[in-house]
Amino acid sequence: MAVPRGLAAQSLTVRAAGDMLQVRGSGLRLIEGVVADHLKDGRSVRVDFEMTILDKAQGSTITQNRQSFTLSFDLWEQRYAVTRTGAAPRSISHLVARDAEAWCLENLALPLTALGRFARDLPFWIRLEYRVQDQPPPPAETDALFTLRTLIDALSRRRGDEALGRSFDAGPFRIGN
Amino acid sequence: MATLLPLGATIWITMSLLERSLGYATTGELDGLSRTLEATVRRFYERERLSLERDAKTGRVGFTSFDMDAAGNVPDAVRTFWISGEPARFTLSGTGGDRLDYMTRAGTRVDVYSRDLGGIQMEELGGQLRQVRELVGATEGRDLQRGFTLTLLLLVAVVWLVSLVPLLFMAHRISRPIQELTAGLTGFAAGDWHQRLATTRDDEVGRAVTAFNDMAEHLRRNRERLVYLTQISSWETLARKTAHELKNSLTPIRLTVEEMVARQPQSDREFMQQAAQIVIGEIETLERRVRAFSEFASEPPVNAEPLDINAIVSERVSLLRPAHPDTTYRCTLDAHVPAVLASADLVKGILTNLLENAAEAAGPGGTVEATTRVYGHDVAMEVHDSGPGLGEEAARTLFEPTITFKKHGMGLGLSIAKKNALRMGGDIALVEGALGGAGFRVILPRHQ
Repeated sequence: MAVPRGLAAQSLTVRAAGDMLQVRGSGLRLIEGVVADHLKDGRSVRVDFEMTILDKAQGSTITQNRQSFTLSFDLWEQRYAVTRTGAAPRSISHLVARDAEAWCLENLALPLTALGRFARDLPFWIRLEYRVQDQPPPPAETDALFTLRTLIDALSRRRGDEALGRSFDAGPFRIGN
Repeated sequence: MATLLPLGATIWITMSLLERSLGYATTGELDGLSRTLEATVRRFYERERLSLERDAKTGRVGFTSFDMDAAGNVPDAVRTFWISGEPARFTLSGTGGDRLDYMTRAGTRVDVYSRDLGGIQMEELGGQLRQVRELVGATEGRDLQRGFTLTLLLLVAVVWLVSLVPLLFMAHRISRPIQELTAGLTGFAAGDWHQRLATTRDDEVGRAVTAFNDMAEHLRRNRERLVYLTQISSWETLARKTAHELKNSLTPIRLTVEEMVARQPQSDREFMQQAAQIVIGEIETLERRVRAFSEFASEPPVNAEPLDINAIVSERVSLLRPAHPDTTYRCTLDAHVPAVLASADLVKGILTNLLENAAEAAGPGGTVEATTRVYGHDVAMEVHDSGPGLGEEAARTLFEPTITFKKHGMGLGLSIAKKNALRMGGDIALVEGALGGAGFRVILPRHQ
């Protein structure tokens, strides 16, 4: 999938929190539009994040972090819940949209040691990408690979159901800054 | 084309019905209903929240307090709230979310106020609304008309192809023997009289192939008979003319020789009588040949009548047995052979010729066997001998006239026998000898 690059570099900011490099994205706006509609319809949404540290714009990769999150929405409290999936799962609930997005970014933090000499005085660039995918509905009453229902589902799917995603490029950054 | 037209009509009708049925879809109504219900329940929930918060602040509702510093049994919801740092939080509890809890911080304590929601299970309701929204979303996210149409076309195509395979197989199974039959007929018409088709089928096609084979065999035999009779006819004409000419010449020769002997002086008469005897002997030989030619050229009438072939065979064998006392005769007669439709004189003549030939071939101490049996639609009688048999050349020209292999006779017997058999609608053929010598099969038509 081609991920559009749509936001300005100023959308992302970085900061060192202890020995971790944290990213913030004021223009992330992940929970909006179709994603927000899906969540408010009660569906779960999986978001795959990938943060890459580059030595220059469009340059080589210094280090990278990938994380997947599952977002859901509490219909009555009108709040979001996020679960970090993977090896060390974590959850948080009762969040507004922006806090849920920020929590995802917090969990993408990289250890400063992974940046090597770029952590001290050299500038670096950041590329942040995410892809959003609807969680598939639970399987129907049958586990059969081929059913009439699966066939109709497959043939009636509209274009545009593919994963949504965006990409942010920002830089140069210096830890000293 | 025969399958595609009804297939197209079926697809058109099905798609028309499909289009109409999709028009009755209630997804839109369901969508509206779910949203209305969700908004109503949310208003109820917010009212209950406000009410619980107000009652908690005014002390009109009791609370449970959890000391977060003390080691104790703290519910997960309370612990999560404590960790979140939020000042207050509402959560659902109870069966299916039928209670509303209000958690507040008070120093190191968390106070939990709780209220029953009157049996309304909020979590259960939320789950059901999610299912409805999923259903609506799934429907809206799909072009169902296209999906149903493509599925229908795909399944119809699969069914059509699956049906087509056995159809093609059956068509091939039916058409292949017909093609072979056509090829056989074409080959037969082109002059291949030995064209036959193999079949193991017992249906109409199999019967058609069998009928073709029977017809081909019948035509082949008739053709061979016709060819033979045509040849025989030529030979008969030649024999008749030759006999007539010879007969015209032999009589005056014989009279002249006798007159010459009569007029000789007595002193030379002895020599002349001896010489005349030799000449007359040769004339008599020639006269016998003339009579044989005449007999060959003659065509006695065929007075066909129902005959008991077993009786005729027995009678002929009994008649000839005294003439060949050193020959053993055996009769193997099928008691169930039907009557044949033939001329008794001609059948007897044929049998006599074959039995005589067999006795001569077998010689003293030899064996001759006569059999009868049903042969397809006809009746066959066979004569076998234990003689030396026939060579390849002899077998090939056996039924041609004027060829002899014996010391006596003209060699016309088998030709006459075959001619007469053919004239009765039957035939004679050389077959493998059952006794090591020659074997002849006479086929005669069955009396219906």
